[in-house]
Amino acid sequence: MAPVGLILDAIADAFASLSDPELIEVVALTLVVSGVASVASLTIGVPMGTALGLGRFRGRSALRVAVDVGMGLPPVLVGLALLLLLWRSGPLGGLRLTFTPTAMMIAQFLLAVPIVVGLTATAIESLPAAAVEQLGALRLSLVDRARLALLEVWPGVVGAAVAAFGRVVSEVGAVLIVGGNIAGETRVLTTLIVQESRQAQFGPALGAGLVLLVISLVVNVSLSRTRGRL
Amino acid sequence: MRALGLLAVVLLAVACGGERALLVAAGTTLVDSGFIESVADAYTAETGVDVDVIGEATAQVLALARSGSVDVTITHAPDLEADFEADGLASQSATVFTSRFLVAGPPGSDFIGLDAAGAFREIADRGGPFVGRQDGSGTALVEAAIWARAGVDGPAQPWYLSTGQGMGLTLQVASERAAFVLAELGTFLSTGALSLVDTGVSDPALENPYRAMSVAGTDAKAAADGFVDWLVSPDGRSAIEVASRTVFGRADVYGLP
Repeated sequence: MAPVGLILDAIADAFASLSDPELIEVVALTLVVSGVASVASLTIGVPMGTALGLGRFRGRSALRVAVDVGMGLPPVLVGLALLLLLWRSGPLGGLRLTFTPTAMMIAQFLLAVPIVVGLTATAIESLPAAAVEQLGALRLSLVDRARLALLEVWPGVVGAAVAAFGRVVSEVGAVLIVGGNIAGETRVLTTLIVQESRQAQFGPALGAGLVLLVISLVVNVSLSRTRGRL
Repeated sequence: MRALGLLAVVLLAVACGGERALLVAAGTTLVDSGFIESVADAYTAETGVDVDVIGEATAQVLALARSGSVDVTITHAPDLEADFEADGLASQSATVFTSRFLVAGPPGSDFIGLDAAGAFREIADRGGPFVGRQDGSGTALVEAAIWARAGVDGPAQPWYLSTGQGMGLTLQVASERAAFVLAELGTFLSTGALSLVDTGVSDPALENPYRAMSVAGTDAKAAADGFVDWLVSPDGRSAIEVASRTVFGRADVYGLP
């Protein structure tokens, strides 16, 4: 019975920790940081992905490879590169952004953009050749053609949004490096879990993990429900 | 196919065979700088006993030791260590080296002539900012004791930033936020790109003795005792001195007691 006790205690403590006001603050920051990063990445990434999927221009395949590589960028590397750029004595040091929520949003944005671009482009590429030809035959502006194509592949774009948010909200390497896990300022669910686990506070760590899981679930389900709806 | 099976057997034997490595849990400060790895390597070179080192906050190290998950602890929290020994959980124990803490701050800051509590009061008067670890580490415990002596509830102040993380990251945050911080000397010296200076506070409370204990309940008790005995032997003392020189270029960062 004893070896299971540790886990049972952690589960009981996890539910008790959910009423901690500090956790609410952490959840709010998590949603703001990952929400802003995701929306920004969609704003930039969907048009880029559409252009990449529809366009026939030189260097397209090289760009496509670059985007695919970007989809698997190691978060710690993104964090490190950003920290170097933002360090006070570094090239962008004047912005004073190290260990701020803004730096965390930038890191997550950089991680999310290739996913949005890549998945949007893939969705567009999956359109039947006939449909693309038909689009080309219509005398429409580029923007209108892109809009029509996007409407066709709407579920794919929603999938890109789900994947982007899922990636950044669950990521810890980059936000710990550029955010610093400062209480009340840059502490998000994933960095809180790292901190609590290292201090063997398994209950609160597990509680934060459950909240993270619920957030992913809610975002996933609510976004998925918009699939097919225009 | 047979070759593949043979390979699997060999790999399994390598994985399980031989003596398991001695598991040493040390305060993160010792691990962040690479100092304790250097000492452990000297021990392995001399005795052939493999040593694995993990870095955790002191409170966590002792919690691991209480659960019998590690063989040797090296920590810096005299009160917690005394409790551990009083509970009969340590087999061998000894103070193996001594370092110090410093009150660090943005370039130009100077608390010469003040003791630690006086410096903390001055920081509070200036409205900080101050970055603390609050992670159950030896450093965090010493910091809490200094706030108590200063009569200021530092962590409750709006200018107090709590990282909940190790010394290295905490120093980075202090540096980038132009804040004050209680720094452990070894990590302070081994962390690059910091815009922080020693404010010159002198106080016996900033002494930082490290204690090694072999865990009584471990199944590698003999090997654990052997390691602690070695740390205080002439060979071990010389290895500590060499490691301090190798990592920091000076022998007094983790000096002999």
